[in-house]
Amino acid sequence: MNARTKVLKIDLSRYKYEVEDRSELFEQWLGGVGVAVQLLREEMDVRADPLSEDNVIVFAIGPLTPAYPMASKTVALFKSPLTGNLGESHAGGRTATSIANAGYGAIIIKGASRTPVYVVVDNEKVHFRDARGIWGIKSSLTAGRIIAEREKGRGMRTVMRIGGAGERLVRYACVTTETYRHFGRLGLGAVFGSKKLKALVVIGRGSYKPADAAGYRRVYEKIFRTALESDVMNKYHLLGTPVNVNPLNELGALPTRNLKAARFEKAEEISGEAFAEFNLGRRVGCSHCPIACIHIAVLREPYEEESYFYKTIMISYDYEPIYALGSMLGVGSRDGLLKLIHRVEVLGLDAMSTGVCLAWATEALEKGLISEEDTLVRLRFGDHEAYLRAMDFLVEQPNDFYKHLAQGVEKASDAYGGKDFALAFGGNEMPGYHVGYATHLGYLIGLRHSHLDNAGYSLDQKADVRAMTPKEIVDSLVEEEIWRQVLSSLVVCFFARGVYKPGTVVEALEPLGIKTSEEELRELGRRIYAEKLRLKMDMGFTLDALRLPRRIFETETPHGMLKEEFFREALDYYKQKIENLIKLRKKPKPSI
Amino acid sequence: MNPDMLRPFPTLMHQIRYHLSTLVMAVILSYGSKKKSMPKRLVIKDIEKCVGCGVCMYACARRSVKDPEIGIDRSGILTTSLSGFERGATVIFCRACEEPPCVPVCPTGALTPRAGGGVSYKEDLCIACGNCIKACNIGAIFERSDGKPAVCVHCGYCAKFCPHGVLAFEEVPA
Repeated sequence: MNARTKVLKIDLSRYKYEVEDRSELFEQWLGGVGVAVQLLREEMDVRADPLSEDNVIVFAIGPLTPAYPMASKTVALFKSPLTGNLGESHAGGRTATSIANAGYGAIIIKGASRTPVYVVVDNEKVHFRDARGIWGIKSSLTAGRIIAEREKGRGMRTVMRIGGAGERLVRYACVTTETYRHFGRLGLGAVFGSKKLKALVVIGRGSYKPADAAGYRRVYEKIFRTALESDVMNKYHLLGTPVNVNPLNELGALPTRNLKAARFEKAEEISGEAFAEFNLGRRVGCSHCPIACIHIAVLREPYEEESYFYKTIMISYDYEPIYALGSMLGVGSRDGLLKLIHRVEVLGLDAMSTGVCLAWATEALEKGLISEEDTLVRLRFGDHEAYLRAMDFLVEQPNDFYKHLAQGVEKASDAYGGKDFALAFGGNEMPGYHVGYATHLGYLIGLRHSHLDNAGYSLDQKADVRAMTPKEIVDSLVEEEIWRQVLSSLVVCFFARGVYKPGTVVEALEPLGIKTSEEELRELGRRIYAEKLRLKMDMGFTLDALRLPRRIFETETPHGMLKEEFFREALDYYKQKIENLIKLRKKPKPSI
Repeated sequence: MNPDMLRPFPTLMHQIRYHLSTLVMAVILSYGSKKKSMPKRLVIKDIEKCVGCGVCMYACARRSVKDPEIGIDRSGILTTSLSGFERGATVIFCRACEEPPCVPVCPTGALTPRAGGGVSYKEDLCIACGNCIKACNIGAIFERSDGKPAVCVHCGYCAKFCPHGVLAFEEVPA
């Protein structure tokens, strides 16, 4: 009865479940992404159609949950319906602690239900609930509330659910947890939808004992005090992630109007400072995290036709939705932007992919590649009302154009042209940074094509990056991504990476009975990176298929205009590098 | 249920330790009463500031120096949203009633009134009947996986970790 090493396997095709202790897997791969890669490989045929019953979802947590604060993240692995390749998405909220307290290290969802259901994991039991009456409710908020009121376990559960976007298989639909946190990227929501799974509820109230009681309490206090008293997490404490808006704009790195520009004249209006001053109404935290980085804005709106009637909506805002639905769409009205953020929240769309898709559509309309007959509403940068309607169309998909756009900007530009300004990397719509080479290389070679894979945008903001060669940048990005495999196997929030430095991680694991060293951890990170890459390649990923959107060469970055040659050199080097990495990690064949 | 959760009968060493600790507590308490200090209890300073992080629940699980736990099975405090986090969050724990409704329904004397309000809980006397959980007017006693109650005994340990000044451990008139 040690840490969480049990794996719960739920089969939606047969309405069955089983539990298996996989301590050997957790011993070898720690947890989180390390374990999830292995479980996905065991459970799924790499050729599976992402929207068929053959797709498999693995949710995994790590050994630090819920032992220490800020280890409040769950890793989801699946085959992405957006890219057709490996899908990986992380979310906070109460998911991680609920899974841990229910006694599991991982939960696997297989098969597909014939009729809409939601699943309740109540500690050791699993219930399949009829969801026919909830299916069709477009609002993820309403669906979440209905399920929360019908089920027990308040305060010790997570309600992971989809909105209309997931049901209608929008390839970048998200899964929302605790109203405001998301498995946002790469379309987990559509995978839920294809399995007729409206929600997964996990209720957990268990405990276990540390191997070293005194050591555990001591290390806990140390980590807790570091998080609160040092300034390593100040950024997230105060203005939250939108603290980035103003500096990135001043730098000329804030993608604006489909990256036709990298400065937005209304950035001040939608900055973290402005939101805090005019709209911030409340902050909440993920379970077992003292930081409370979730910033919630208040939007007070009059009823249009009735005087002295108001509605008040609480909307969670972060840097990414501000970029994707703000500057990227040229929306500088804070109220307008909040309405857009609220709409993606309600529908259960990924904010970044939605913003990039609509920005591409706006420019395609400007250029005459598509017409208003396609878009059904006149899309213009800055016109949030038009974008609100377009978001509904993405979910309803009333015509061919929206059917294509609901498959992502890559597919839409395959059909309608405009590839040069279709801002996707590895099939995933671009995050909100146009800082330099490391940023875009990071999106390209990051194993989930996320800015968080390797933080290239951060490297680009360091002073010495200008002197770095393509090789050095690739080495630095891969090194960072390797360490992040450890962090997402533990699983700690990347925002707490300043607290969970290698030495601290070693110290934190010891009272839990896991003896390791910094070197061993890095080696493990390397192995997980290689395993993930191999899985990705077995699913059909090749570097040769990667595309660099022309647009990134047309808009100046803080490092000047980017040159394609630099990328070519970097990618050639990366190709060799990973070939070696994969070769090295392949186990030698046993000699007979 | 995991068989490890079932506690064995207390060994002689446990009993000696238990009586020793009661003796030490008695000495401390009598020393305290000489100074005429008032009993303390866990109080809410400003519930509107609660961010729902639940750090208090995990502190409660760690409160025993000898036997801390990881998880919330034993936590006598629960953090929850107010029907969704858009309405904020709150904490639920024993409000230290002067006449605790949970005490008279306890068949074994495991729950006794505590100076300053609320209860003291002697786990070894508890037979896990669950009467106290049903009797609590505000739903502030929770059920552990072994059926025994998880109840706040106002030790104040969680207040040390509340990052946003919601909880405090303060003197109150007895």
